[in-house]
Amino acid sequence: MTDVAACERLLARLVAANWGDDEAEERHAASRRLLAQEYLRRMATWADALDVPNQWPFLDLAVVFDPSVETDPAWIERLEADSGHQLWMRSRQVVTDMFRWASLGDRPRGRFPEFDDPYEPMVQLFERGGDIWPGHGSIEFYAGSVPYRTISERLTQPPFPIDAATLNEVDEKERISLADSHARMAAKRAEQARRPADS
Amino acid sequence: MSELRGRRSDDPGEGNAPGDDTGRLGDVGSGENEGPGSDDGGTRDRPANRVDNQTLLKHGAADRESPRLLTAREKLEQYLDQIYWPGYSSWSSARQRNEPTDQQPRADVTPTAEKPAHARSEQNGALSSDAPELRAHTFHDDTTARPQRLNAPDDERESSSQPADPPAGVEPRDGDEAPETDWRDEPANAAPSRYHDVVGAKEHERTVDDASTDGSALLDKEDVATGTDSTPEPPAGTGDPAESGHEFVEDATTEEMDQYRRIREADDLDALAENSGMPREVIDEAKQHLFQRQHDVAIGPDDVRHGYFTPDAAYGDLWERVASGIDMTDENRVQFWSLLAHEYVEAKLMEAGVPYKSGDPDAWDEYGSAKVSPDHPSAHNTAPLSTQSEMKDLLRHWDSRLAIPRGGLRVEHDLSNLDEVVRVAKEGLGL
Repeated sequence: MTDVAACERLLARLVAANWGDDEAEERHAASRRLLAQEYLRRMATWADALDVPNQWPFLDLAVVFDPSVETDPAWIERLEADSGHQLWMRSRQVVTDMFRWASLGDRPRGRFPEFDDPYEPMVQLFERGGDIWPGHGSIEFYAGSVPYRTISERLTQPPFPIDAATLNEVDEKERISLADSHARMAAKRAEQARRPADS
Repeated sequence: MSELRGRRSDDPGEGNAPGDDTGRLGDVGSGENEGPGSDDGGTRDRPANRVDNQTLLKHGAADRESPRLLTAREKLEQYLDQIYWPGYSSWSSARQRNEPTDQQPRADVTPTAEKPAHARSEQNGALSSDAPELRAHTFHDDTTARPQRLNAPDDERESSSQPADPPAGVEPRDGDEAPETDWRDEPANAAPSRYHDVVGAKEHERTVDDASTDGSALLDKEDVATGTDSTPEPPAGTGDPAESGHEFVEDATTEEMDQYRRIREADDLDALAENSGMPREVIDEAKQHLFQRQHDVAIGPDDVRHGYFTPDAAYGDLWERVASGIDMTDENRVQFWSLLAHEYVEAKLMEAGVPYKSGDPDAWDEYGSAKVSPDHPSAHNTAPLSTQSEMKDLLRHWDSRLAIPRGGLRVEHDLSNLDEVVRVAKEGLGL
């Protein structure tokens, strides 16, 4: 039983995501890092509960939950056609299972009602700036490199809030910090430029 | 080719019907056909619904002699037999299944990879029979006698709340010194978990921390201060991570680690240069950096680990796909181009003393992510953006994040100006 409505809702969100928007990537770098951290925690929770810790962090969670789940390539095709964006390889891997997970409907929640949606952080990460790519034991994206660490560490990580207000606040905090840093750098370079003349 | 079995959505597969063109070699992006696996320590079962491609080999003797279709697996086996020794793929598959085989490594083989490394170590002791160039690679350690932290400018250091930095920030984590908000220092038993109950003896492959905290995997602070390094890790291909200690910064799946060991030993530079059209010397430097050197890698505040880069099948598959020249896509070419640019510049910056990432707690945000800012320069965050799937400006983070003046400098499509990129980066970092 495929939950087509849930897949359609996911498709609408991903079509509207800021794929390829360099400015959005820059503006949301800090919140995307937070979302990646929360993604790793939630995936650890599910991988642990489903007893597949060795497949973490990029596992086909929906297939583990229900090996008979259907993989319908039409969802990815529609996403790429409607968004005009060709998914990058790691993003494609994650999004493929996102649609499978959505197609399961409420069944995962029925079995693990206390668990958070495993893919919500990654959906928001895409919405706030687009693709991810692989790293050496890390999730990589623009101005972001989030180490996997270990699943046992992720299981001890407290949930991080990922509401819009918190995410925007994190981004604003980094914007101010970065502006200060750039100002210090500019002052330092100006000082260095003056030194030869002084000496 | 059981080495490749069950990796993350990248399995070349077997037994497919002619004409199928899904699940191509190295196609880590699809994942549509990945099954649940059996959680057996990295050698997960092949998904029952796996579909793999089978295409005509367009070039070569097989094509001339027979119209028979070769599977992706067969093509890869041919390639591996070519770069290692005849029969390697069969021998390796049998070994993976723990089956007896008379196809043991032979002595009359190629100079760079005479035998699988674990066979060498079993027969002759660690490194005793490695080819000279491999020995050089194996022992090359970019942390030796090299400064490991790029000091912040004086004015920035004054603004920091941190005391004077230790040489490398590589001491094991100390909960007493950790910020209160650091969730990582919570007791490991804070959240009861099936993981801790179930995994038990089979132990998660990625879990290296227990051993790490005893200091065996980390450089001693005194080692770094004196410019010396820890004892080199065992050579490539010693097999069981438990036997080889901390070969990698962090363990990955068995297949991924074996793939990196395989690439580490492969004589593939000419093939990579020919198939990619990229400069051989750039590929050589990138390969040494990516696969053949050990590094100090900060994975968190004051948490720096030592070893070869943590394997990822996405890199390994891309590398082997370009080396084989089989089924390369335009996306692969762009990925390889940006990967080489990233690794080359990163290597040169680390050679100049820039840390891979800073272990300074101020370089990490409160959620445990490395910040990208001029305050804490790092080779990883300064190098061109890696593994991009479309042609983009690989240095755009210099403008908005690092404030490195570049005067319109971009990475050339033929990678001919990477040394200029390195020069401008160093200048921007104050080196």
